Amino acid sequence: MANEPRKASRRDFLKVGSASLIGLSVGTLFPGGTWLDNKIYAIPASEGYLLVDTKKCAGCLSCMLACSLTHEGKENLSLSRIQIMQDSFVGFPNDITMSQCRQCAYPPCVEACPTKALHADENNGNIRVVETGKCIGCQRCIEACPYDSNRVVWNHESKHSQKCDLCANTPFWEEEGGPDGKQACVAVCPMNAIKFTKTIPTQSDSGYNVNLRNVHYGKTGFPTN
Amino acid sequence: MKGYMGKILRVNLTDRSISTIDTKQYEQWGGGHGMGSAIFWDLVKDKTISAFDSRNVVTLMTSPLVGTLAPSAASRTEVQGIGPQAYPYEWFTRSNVGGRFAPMLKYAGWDGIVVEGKADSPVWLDIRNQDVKIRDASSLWGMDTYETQQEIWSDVNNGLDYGSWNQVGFGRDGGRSTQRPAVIAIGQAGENLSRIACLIHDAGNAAGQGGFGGVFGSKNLKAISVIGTGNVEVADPNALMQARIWMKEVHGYNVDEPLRESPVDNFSLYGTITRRPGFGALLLEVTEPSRPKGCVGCYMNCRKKTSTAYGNEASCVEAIFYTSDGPENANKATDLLQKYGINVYGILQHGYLRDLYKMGVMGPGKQIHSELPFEQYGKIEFAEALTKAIAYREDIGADLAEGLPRAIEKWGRLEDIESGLITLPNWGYNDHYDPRLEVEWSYGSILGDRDINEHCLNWSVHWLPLVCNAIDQEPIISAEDMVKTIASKLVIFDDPMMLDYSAEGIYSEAKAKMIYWHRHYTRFWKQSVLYCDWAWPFFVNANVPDFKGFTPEGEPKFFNAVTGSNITFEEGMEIGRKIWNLDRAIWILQGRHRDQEKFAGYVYDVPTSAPYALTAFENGKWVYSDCLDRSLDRQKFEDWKTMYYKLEGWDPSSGWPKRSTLNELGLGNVADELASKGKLGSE
Amino acid sequence: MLARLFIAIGVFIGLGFGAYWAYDASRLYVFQAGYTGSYTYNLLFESAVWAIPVAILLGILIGSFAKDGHESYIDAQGKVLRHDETMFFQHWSHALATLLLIGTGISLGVLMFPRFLSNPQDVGFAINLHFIAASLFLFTVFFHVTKNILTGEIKENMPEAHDIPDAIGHYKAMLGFGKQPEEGKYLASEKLSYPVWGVLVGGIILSGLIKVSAYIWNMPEGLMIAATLIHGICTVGIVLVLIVHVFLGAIIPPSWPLIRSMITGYVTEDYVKAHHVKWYKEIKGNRKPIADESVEALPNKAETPSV
Repeated sequence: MANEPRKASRRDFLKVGSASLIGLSVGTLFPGGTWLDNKIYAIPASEGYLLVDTKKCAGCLSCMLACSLTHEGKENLSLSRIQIMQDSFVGFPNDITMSQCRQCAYPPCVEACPTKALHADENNGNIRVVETGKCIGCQRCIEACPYDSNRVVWNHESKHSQKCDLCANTPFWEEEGGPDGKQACVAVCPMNAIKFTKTIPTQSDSGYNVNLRNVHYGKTGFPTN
Repeated sequence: MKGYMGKILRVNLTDRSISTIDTKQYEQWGGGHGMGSAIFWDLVKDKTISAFDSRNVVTLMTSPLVGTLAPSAASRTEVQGIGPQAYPYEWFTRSNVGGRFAPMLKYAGWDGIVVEGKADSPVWLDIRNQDVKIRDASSLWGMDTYETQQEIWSDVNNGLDYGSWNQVGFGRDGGRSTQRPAVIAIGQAGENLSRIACLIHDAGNAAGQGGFGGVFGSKNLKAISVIGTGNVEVADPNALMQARIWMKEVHGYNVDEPLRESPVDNFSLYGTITRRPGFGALLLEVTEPSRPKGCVGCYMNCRKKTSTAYGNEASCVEAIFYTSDGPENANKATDLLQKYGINVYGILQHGYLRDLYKMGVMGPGKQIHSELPFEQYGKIEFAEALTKAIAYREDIGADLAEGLPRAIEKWGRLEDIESGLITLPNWGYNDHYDPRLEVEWSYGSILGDRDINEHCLNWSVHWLPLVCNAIDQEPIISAEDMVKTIASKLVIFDDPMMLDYSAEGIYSEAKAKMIYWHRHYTRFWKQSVLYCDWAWPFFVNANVPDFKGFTPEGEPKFFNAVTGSNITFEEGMEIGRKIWNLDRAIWILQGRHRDQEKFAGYVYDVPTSAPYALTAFENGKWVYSDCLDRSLDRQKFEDWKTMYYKLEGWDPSSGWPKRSTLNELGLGNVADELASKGKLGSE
Repeated sequence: MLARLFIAIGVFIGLGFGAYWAYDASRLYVFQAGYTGSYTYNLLFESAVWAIPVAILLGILIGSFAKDGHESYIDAQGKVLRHDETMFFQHWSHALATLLLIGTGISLGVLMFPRFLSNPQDVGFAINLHFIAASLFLFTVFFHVTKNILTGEIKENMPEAHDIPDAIGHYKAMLGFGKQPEEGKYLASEKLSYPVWGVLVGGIILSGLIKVSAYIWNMPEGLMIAATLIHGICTVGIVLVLIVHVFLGAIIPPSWPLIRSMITGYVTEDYVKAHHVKWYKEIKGNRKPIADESVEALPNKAETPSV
């Protein structure tokens, strides 16, 4: 039992140890980290939004099929980042709901994400997107979305969250997307009931529900109001 | 090939066992009808059984395009089996239903469902992805189709509301969906084994003809529900996407800036020319705030949904079932059919019953006793009483539930069918388009198992001139241009005379080629690949400056983009020929002979007296003829049949396929079976 | 034994508090952002991320003060101390932490294996428990490594070249072929597994720390994917090695004295003489004298008056 050399190295170790402890604690203070309130940081507004006309929608789900096809390369309604819900037995106009991501100005999903997987992508017009490699599956973004039928989708095949990225990243479609490009749902909708815009829509309870029906639509006998 | 899920669900209701069939065994048939016929051939040894025999097998098949972005090809289910409706023989028959059932079945991981046997008590099939259960339906039995579906929706979601994401499978990655389960159900008509009961899905989608509602009822099967969260694989997603956009931008009706729109406002019928959204109501106007409604993946969306919800998703004939009491009551009457699950074509000619009443033959204490409120005929009350009677087999409903031809036979009034007082030209089916004139329809029907309901040529050669005339508009395309356009697209032939509906033209060799083309196209491209009848084929497209529609480029384009195959249009036609011959063999085993392929008497004996527009080559030029004062010539029709059988490679003395034809199609085993029953055509 | 009982109870109570904290934090509450219908829960990895470096540093700190468990002796009752109280605490808290980590980790999903949890509250509870267990795991690992390096015990844990033939001979002897080689305190086979554990535990800690860093800094996506993959591979490795460890160390009858000693701390002299010949040679000279106060004196029959 040689005590003397151990005491000496223990003392040294304590010095190094406490210095490290202080150093690490100070270090965590810095890069926009957990000690500071995230909400102090303003998240820039998105440069693109989807407007929908729920009265024009024919419930064909082509937008959902296009969304999952261009993003995942396969057809799966559960992976679509836009959801159309409908009840065959309810009357117009409450029979169909169109649930697209609103690219909120103050996005709860971005704030909820602990790993910054869901963030405002400054390279793509500040669209709120999920960097899927960083997603840990905590699902806080899904819970944070305040709209019924959360606009953030759980991808149960690839095990991560995903959401409307205005087609910024569509590996299975040759067209460019993002705020300066094309959106799959807009491109396929046979009723032209989805429209892309760069100006921030006015907030309302009906969620960017606009009237996209013109006089030609009216000539077929369907209402334009 | 991609697009297939790899497994077909096989349910035996007798022993309540669930197993799977490997789709690969049947992939050569394409999907839909081809697979259904092949499976029926394999599973039903004795093809002479009746429709309500528990050994009858019902197949509900999808195709590789179902559930994908292929336009108007994503939503259809082909239903097949021995059907109780046809008269006097219960032919092996087909029906088809749109909506969302087929895609949901694909997302659950299934290419189709095969139903065998009979359950000893009412059951319903609960499919959630790969989890399949046969469940007790005693609480559902007796409900109408709307109530049944809503009950099942509630059950599958554990009583919770819809409107957000619901857990479908087990655990975080078990799959979630915002969608309601897709349910096919029978109503009281099917429960009471009506021959004119149908399968209903959502509010207005139906597998209407054939009597499959009764077949389900005979199996004690109340409903099939499916919810899926899986994928349909697509071989070339980019090609599919670009093709879909091509379809919309080049060939679709532009809702906001149409190239051609109806000169008359709120005139659905013009949609037969432009295919604009919501044209399914045809003769009816939009009378209340509504929206167009389409099946999954449609690029046209022909149905609609109303603010009252009456008549939701109704389309075409079921919407015009009972229009004499105002638009709202018309919708309510239609809804009665949907809820009871009654095929509109089983009772469309209810005017005949009123005629019998007026003749003093039917009524309280009359020769045909009935206490239906005939004095209120034309009002909704009569429709309510009539549909209820049929659903519950009360009053004359007991006879009508057997279908009009059998009811008429029971009433001893078969002469009414022969005289045309009631028009049931082929196999007891309601007439659809004039059988004396539009022969691709009537010939195809009598050579097959039912009223064909294949509008391929009909939209162009009949509706376009009819609609333009109706609003006093010069037909937007001349008869000659139309015929030439269509002929160039009738690939494998390209003979304009095929479109000649003149008095001589309808017996020609060219007409034989037309029917030959039509049977094969529909058997493969429409009923196996499941391109919707109201969108495919498209010959004459008013949304394109030169009127050239997307047939025959479109059919293989989408099929190949999804499956990764490189099949040609012609190769598809050849598969269609194979399927048509297999169906022919099944009917022959059921007892078919050319001598049975005859129309009701009026088709031959009663000339037409109202104008009926059709393309015709008369006096050296192409015109849209009125086809007045024409009926079918018995002998010329028999001679035409001989010509047609020869073209198909069938023995003209019997109408039975020859071994050489069957061998050429790879159906040698079918030839063996026919030979063993002494029903093989002589060489 | 009493001390060990207290240690065990203490660890369970500590974990109990940790589990309660994890559970409470995972309940959904209305998000401060002010939207109705917007909910969130407290992810401890994010809000209490300080606990990770603190656990490491505490492990190092306390490890450097820990008692040397090196020396051993044979006591009057013929028992030999194999694992002292420090070892008891260290091994069992580490084992509990590992089991919790594996359990929560697997239910959250590892590599391609399916996940069991569905709603965010369950997921949150599992992640928070993972956090609690990870803190304990880090503490025990760094405690162990610090202590063993400083005391020199590490030399006894790490294998030497002769351990490979010794281990093979050991298993052959167990199956009935050949003679048992002469083993030290730790069997050759145990020593061979030590660096394996080291690599796996090192890998899982390193990848885990990279993953934890995402809660503080903006990390590149490729690094996160790589770290998650390594974390998963090491999980599978640890599960497999753990199964072997439990089987060979506790399940098979020859190992029952070993598992008993991990609880009570002691093995018998006969056991050491039979199975750890080299170790016996080292300690046989260390006999605890009877006069030692730490040993209860046996009653002397001659002196005890009969009543």
